[in-house]
Parts: sequence; C-alpha cells; structure tokens
Amino acid sequence: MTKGQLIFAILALILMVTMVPAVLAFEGHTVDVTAQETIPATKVARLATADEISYAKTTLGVDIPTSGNPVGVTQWDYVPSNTCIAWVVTIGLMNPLDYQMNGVTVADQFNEHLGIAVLDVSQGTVNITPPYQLSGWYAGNLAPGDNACLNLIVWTRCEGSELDCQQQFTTPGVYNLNYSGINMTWYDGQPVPVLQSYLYGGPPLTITVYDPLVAP
Amino acid sequence: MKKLFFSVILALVLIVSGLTAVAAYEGHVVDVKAHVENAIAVNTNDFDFGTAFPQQLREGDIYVGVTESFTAQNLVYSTVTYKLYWEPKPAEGEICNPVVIDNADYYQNIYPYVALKIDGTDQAAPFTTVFGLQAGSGDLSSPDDECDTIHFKFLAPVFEGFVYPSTDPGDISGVISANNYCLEPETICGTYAVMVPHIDLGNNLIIQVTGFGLHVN
Repeated sequence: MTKGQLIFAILALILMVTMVPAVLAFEGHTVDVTAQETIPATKVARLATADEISYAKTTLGVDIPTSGNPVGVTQWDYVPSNTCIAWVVTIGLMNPLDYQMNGVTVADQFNEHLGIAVLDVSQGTVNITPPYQLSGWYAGNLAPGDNACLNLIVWTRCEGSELDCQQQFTTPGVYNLNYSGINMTWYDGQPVPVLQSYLYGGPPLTITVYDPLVAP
Repeated sequence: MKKLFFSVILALVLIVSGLTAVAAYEGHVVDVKAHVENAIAVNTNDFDFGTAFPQQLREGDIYVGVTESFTAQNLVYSTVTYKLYWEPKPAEGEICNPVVIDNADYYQNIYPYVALKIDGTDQAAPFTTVFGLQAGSGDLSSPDDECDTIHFKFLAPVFEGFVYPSTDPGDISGVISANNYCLEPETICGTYAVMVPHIDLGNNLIIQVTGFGLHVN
C-alpha cells in the first residue's frame, strides 16, 4: 500500500465515522402517548358483625341460620367448613370519566352456595333474584367524581331439606364468593345517549375453607 | 534603567499593535448560510387515550406527512424514510404508580398494550436496536405518498390478581397471573400492570427521519 492509498483510507474512515451519526440524526418528532387506567367499580368483603346479622334477620326478615360468626373466625377469607358464615360485601361505584354516567346499572352473580340480601344502599334501587343473584342495582346517575355504595349481606346457605340440610361449604378448598364479576352499564352524556357497558372481572373474593376438626 | 524599561514597554506595545494591524490589512467576508427545514411534520405531539377501564379497547390515529418545504425543494429528494421508537416518558407532575429510575419518576410503559399500524400495515412487536426500542418504520414520497396514518390500538391491561369474568366460582384457574395476559390473537400480549386499581401509562413515541432518497427522473 502506497502512502497515498493509506491517507485515502484514513480519510474515508474518518468520513464514515462522522457521517453515520449525522445520517441517524436527521430529524426527530416526539408524540406523548398516554392513558389513565382505572376501574369504575370495586368489590370488597369483610365478616358481618352480630349487629348486622341481627338487623338483617329481624328488620329485613332475612333467614340467616346463625346469630353471629363463630368467635374463632377472624379472617373473612379463612373460614371453617360446615359452618354458617356471614359477610358484608360492599360494591362501590365511582365515575372517573369527564361526563355524567346516566342510568347506571350493576349486575353480579355470587356463588350458588350463598344467599344474599341488601343491607343498605346509598342511592337507587336493588333487585335480587334469590338466592344469590344481584340482578340489578339501578344506581341512577353519577356525576364526574361521584361515588355510590351498596352493602350486601352474604351468607353460606344450608342446602337440602329443612330437617336435614347441609351447611355450605361442605368440603375444604378454595372458593370464590362472586361468580362472574360486576357487569356495569350506563349511558353517556351525549345529546343522543349511547349505552356503555363494562364487564368487570375482579378482583375475586376468594376464600379458603378449612376443616375445623383439622385446622384451627 | 527607567528609560530602558519604558523603551521595552513601548517596543512591546508597538509589536502588539503592529501584529493587529498586519492581521487586518485586508478582509473578505463570505456569508455561509443554510436554511434548515423539517422534512416531515406530525399533526400532534400529544396523544391521550383518556380514561380506560381494564380490557377496554381504545383506538386512534395520528398523521405524518412531508412538509411544504420538502415538496418545494425542486425534488432533489423525493422520499423520506422514518422509524418509530418508544422511549420512557418522564412524569410531568404527580402521576399514579410511577416507575422510579435514577430517583426520577417515569410513567409505566404503555407500549406493551399498543399495536401500531402504518397505512394499514401491522408493525411488528417492538424490538431492541442499538438506537432504541423500535416500534415500526415507514416511508413517504412526493408526490405519490405524502401522508401516512399511524393507527394506535390500545387494549387496557387487566390487573394482576383479577379474575376473568367467565370464571366459575369453584375454579380459580382463571385468576390472572403474570405473563398469561393475551386477550386477542394479535400483537397485544404482555405482562401486567401492577395490582392497583389505578395506573397512569405512557411513553414517548419518537418519529425519527432516517434517510432521504434522491429524485430520479
């Protein structure tokens, strides 16, 4: 290689190194891509108090086969088998949108071994198809940022004949209290209202049922 | 001695001023100018899907086109190629559940839940290159294809720990766990957002011009 060729090669190399970044930096545009994700409904459970069970039985006329949860049961999601347990399940609604939700309706289905009844509701009317289906909570309208709340009393049913019923759950294992999640519908605030719907899958109200003769 | 000192100073001043004078004997001015214009323009720099619920599908378009300056440059160049890159988006103000990187807040990534099409053509799932996380590529040409539509399809992720709506009460196998989220047979498959009831998602989409093609008569 002659001296001239060497200089030419070095110059070519320098040119390449300087040109590559230049080509890659012609021009750039930035687009901010964002979303705010939230849920319009929540569902939580806790053990019912003796007062709540008493209120449901005496004032609401609900046939719950217990006067209170067993003393040793302190966790809502860890309960003995063959024992009547009562919970309060709270369904909360909120409007995170920038328009008013009109004609809000919520449906839900619980485990077939449970019974449900309305303890109290902050607004609207509630239809229950016995024993375990919330066929419709007609919650009315929700302005942006507004909340509504429904408290249900939920209990394990004694299934079978009146004299010889089996108190659910009979087998230890893991169960969900709710069946299908919340199905929520509403109309938007447009001049011509459009039906909006939302199928809300969770979180599940999962319980562990233990054998009281084995586990504490 | 004092006289010698002043003589030296005087000589120095003369030399310095002389140099300046020599340097300024004659001057020619050449104006070196360039008119820098963008080759492409994007119709927006902000694309917000708004409030979305888990499993909700949101779609929208942005447009990329060649500029008037580009078309008016006597067609020295007739094509522009560009690539799309996803970049982390720094938080502006307070956001819900940010990711902390080097003590700074960033949005949780939205790109795993976004499928892109450019002029109707599906773009491959984002892949890492030395220049960043490439999300797609396209080209524009004048006068035949002066505008591209970039279509966004956002499927809001479900939250980890939630249950599919069809799950039977006695069967919790449908409870959503990490890495099994794929509701559509498309490119939108991915891991979950965190198990929280609210989250802000975001990324910067960089549209980077990567080359020009010469006009061929």
